[in-house]
Amino acid sequence: MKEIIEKLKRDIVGFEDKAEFAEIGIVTEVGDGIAKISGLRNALSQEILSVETASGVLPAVAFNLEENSIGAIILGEAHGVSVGNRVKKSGKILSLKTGDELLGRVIDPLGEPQDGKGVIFSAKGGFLPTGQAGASGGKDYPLERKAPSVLDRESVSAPVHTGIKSIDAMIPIGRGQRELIIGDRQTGKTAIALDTILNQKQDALGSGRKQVICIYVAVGQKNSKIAKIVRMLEENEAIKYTVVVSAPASSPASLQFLAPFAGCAIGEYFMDSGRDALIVYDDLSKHADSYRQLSLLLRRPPGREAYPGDIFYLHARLLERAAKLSKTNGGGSLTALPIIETKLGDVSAYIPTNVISITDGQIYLESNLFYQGVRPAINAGLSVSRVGSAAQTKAMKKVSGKLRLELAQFRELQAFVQFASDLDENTRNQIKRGELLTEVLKQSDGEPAAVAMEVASIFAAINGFLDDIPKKDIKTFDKEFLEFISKMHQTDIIEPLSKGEWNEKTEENLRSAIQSFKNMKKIS
Amino acid sequence: MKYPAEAYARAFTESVTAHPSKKDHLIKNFLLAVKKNGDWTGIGKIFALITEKATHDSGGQMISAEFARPLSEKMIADFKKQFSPKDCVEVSIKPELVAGIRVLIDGEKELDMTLAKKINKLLF
Repeated sequence: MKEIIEKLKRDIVGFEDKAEFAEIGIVTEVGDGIAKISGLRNALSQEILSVETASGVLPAVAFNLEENSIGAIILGEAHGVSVGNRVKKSGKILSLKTGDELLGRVIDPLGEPQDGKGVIFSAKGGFLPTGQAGASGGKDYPLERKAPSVLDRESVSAPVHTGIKSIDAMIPIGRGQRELIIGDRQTGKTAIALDTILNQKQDALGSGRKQVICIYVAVGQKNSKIAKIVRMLEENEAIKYTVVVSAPASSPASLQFLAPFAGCAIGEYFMDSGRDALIVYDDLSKHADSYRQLSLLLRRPPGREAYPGDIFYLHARLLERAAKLSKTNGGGSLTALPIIETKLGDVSAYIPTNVISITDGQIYLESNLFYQGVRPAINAGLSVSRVGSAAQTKAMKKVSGKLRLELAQFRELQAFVQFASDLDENTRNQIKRGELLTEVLKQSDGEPAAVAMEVASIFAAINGFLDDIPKKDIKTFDKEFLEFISKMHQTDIIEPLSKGEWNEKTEENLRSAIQSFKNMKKIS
Repeated sequence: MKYPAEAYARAFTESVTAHPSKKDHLIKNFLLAVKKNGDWTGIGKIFALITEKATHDSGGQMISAEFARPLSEKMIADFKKQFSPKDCVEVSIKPELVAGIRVLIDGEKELDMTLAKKINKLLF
């Protein structure tokens, strides 16, 4: 006790406070997380402001710079803010402390831990003006940053394997690409993103590809759903290379609006350090809704569907930050998987069309397919990847070309399935092959397949090895066959396929392995 | 409000400057117009803006002084004497400041010499 009193005395004796004029603003209006502030005429756009309330200092961001006032969004719960509160400038624009310490953590868009695992950085950090002095163990990254220029980039060349056969074969994603996942509610959009995150662990093993760091940004999701996702990542040991940015439905619109930018800043940190990162924005429909709310409260003029005029720019500037950097810039990459939720399959609504046009392709999920039991419910006809094929491995390219063709032919003939008995043999065979391939491409969520397994499985299907197997037994056959080659053919098949290599010898080995497995099955 | 307070303040000051001889008539009609428009609830804000504009136009400043404890009339008068006669000085009492004085100039610059600020600085 005596020590504490002595320390307090020392602090008081050493306390210096010069009387000097400070530039301040005053809150003139407040409500719904928005404050109107008079004064502070030198404030910058996106500058952090400190609102001095009775219960402490609250951060806010200067959003609208008007002739006589500033429209600011209050970061956090705005209950303590009242008219007459003093507001001070920080001179800093909104930024987030980033670093490897974030891996395995769940944070809010301001960088505050949400997982109860304690402080993230050794010194007091974050964006608060009070946190600047002596901060260490982390680097400040602005939430809003200019996307890398054309000269800083290079073409997509390495793949991001999702572990989902239909995507890796037909809609391949490259490192640095932006691939939209779009579909109605409950069609498995988040499941695809999560499988991709889970798959990064096995994809890095023995393939020579760099480990992909994952960032999952939850915008406007239920707390229970986020908790479930975090648990799933922990159970699969995927949390070690993942950062979760959480802005649940219960959080203020300001935080939901900032969450994707916070996630992107973290992704940029990993990209700038020469690593490959993957960011999932789940979802941008809710992000657009939060931005609409803020804009309407700030009295910005509403446009189509009441969204503000710059909603396209909002998503374009966010997704443009996904890039594959050139070797001179470290060669890192940031791949973006934005998610958009459609209503009754309407992809022509405002936000879906915007994001479709911004991204480098889309994975379109259909409710009908989902209810028919085709899971993942990917509509291969409407899904496309504009740049990913350049990043596909040789092995996958070899098998996927024929798969795409066969499925396209099947789609054309699908309408005649019910008249199958009246059709010629050739058409019947094509329909049968299409159904077989659809069956092979079915996968349960949470079970991403290694790329070698995907290639082997598709190879067996397109080369007619499964033609004599009843449709109901295909899944079991596929599972047992993959177990067989992973145990018996590790060096001659799995290893080269994991590295993406394909040559006559590998093909021959694969053919003979399938045949010997089939023979073994017949005997048993 | 039907029209913003800033618009009322500007209209009033400009018309009074243009026709100083009709001042009484303008004030009467201005108040009637505000009432007719249903903006009477904002009259306080309009008045504050008119005062601010008039003070600035005459080369003065808006001074708002907040004291932690009540002052005598003499002390207030002595305090006001420290400023130019063109300035508009308003004095108010805020016990939450604990001790000392806080002066705000033109709503933008502040000199805070209160004990509350010192305590906050020590704490955080």
